[in-house]
Amino acid sequence: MNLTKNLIIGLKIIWDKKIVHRDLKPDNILITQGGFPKIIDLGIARVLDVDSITQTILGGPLSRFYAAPEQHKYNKKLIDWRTDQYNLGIVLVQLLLKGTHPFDPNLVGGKSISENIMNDNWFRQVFNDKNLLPIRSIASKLLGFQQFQRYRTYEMLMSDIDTCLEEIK
Amino acid sequence: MKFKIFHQLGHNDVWSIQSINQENTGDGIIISPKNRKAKNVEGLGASIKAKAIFDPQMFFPRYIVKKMNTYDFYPSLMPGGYDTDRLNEYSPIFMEKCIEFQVRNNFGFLVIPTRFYDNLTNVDELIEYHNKNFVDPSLTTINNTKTDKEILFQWVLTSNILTNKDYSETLLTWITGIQKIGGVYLIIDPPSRYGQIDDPKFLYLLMVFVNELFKNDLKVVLGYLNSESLLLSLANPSIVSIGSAYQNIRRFDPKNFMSDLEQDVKTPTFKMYSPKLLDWFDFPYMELIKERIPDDITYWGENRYSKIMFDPNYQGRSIHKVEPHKHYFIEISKQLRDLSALDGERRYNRLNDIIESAKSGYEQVRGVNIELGNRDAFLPAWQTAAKSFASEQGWI
Repeated sequence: MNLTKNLIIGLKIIWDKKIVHRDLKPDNILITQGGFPKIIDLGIARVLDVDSITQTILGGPLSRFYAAPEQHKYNKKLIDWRTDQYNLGIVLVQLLLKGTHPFDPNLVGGKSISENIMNDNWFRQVFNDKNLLPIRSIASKLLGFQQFQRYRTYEMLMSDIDTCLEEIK
Repeated sequence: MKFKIFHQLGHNDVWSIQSINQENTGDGIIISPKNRKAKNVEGLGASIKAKAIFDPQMFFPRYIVKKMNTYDFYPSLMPGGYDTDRLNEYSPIFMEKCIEFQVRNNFGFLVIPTRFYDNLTNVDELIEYHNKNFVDPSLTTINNTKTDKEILFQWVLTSNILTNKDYSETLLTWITGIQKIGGVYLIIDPPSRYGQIDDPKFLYLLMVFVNELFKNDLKVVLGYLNSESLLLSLANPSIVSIGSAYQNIRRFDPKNFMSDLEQDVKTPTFKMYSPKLLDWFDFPYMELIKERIPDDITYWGENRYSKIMFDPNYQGRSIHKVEPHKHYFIEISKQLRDLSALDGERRYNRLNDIIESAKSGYEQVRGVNIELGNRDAFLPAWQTAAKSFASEQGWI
């Protein structure tokens, strides 16, 4: 959770400038020797209200395995900082699953990770482990299928993370 | 979470203010420029303005009605006459003036004006249009005035929007993405503008919509309500409105903002609110019910106004009398405050008791040979909506 908190503190810098990273995934997060995360590759980051700087054959740039439902729908106008929350939610649960993707068909069935993302089908049973229970509500909110089911403000998100860190202690 | 009661001002709004100050029937007011001239708004006392929401009622930018002419921020005042294509040139000026009026008067909240959209236009285009003409210029002005007042985003929620899942979800995504707002002032435009709302699907979806905003830590103000405020209290609003009396007078109707219809409106008959039956009854019926069920005080409540209205010497029963209005304020605010003191499941249980009591009341009235047709058809609709919502919340 500390790693997630530090990632969010780092992301706030771009969110405050109304920039959305849009491509958060393990490959784009480096860990320094001191254990602090560094976010790299702002190649497809988008300033809100400005047209996308990159286009792909799919109509919008994204790493599909970490993309939020609104990215799968290629609705650029709906993308905001809550999209990064979703990407981050996948990374968080993947960390809890020791590297396994939470939407992996081997875990939850379905045909593909993309299809499972669009069906809101992820491995919620990870929280059957009592040690992970304090993280459940944060992860569930980050992975809210609709953007309005995620955190509306940075302060709400950080408040929940701080509470969670207290509980974990 | 407790909620507050605001009076939606209109016809004889002085009675509302008296009722709040003298009988504790409300916590604030919603001011309507359609019914109050600018100078009369400016002349209100500072203490009441501090507990007020000014509803710009910019629902139809093309039209202006009577008293609205006394305000200088309506798009219909555009030089050369209103022109949709030129709205974006002028909207920053109108939004600026409207926000400045609200800041100058030191109202409790600042409302971003809205317009009424009667057809479901492409939602992306609608959001772009609305941001450009209403939200962005209002927020720019607010930012420049450096006020710390809470900002309310205003929206007219129609049946068409609510029953279209994709549309309403996109609206929720948009509204909750506007970072600077602290709440949403929702105006309810129900499927039928007459009588009680008896569409359980509409009511349920409305509760879900309100609750989603609540879950986003947004205050929700519900405007233009009749006694369905009791039901909607389940969805965690921060403020519910009670209108002046007479059932539908405060119900939102777009027609009222398109032209001066006041003089054409048929004067409503003398009615009285029954806190047991949860609805309004014309005088001949209230007299009959009182005559045949004389000892049950729950039908009409016991307050000085109900006693006056049943006095055989009471003269001139009409909408212009103060008693039915103030009676309503006392009885509905009592019911609402009772619910407000309870949370979640307890609030639901109390509401269910109120509805069950109303159902048995209608049976009792029929039992004394008074036919009310399907006047109670809204009760199963309310109960269905309440149960669906309660089930989703895990209360039942």
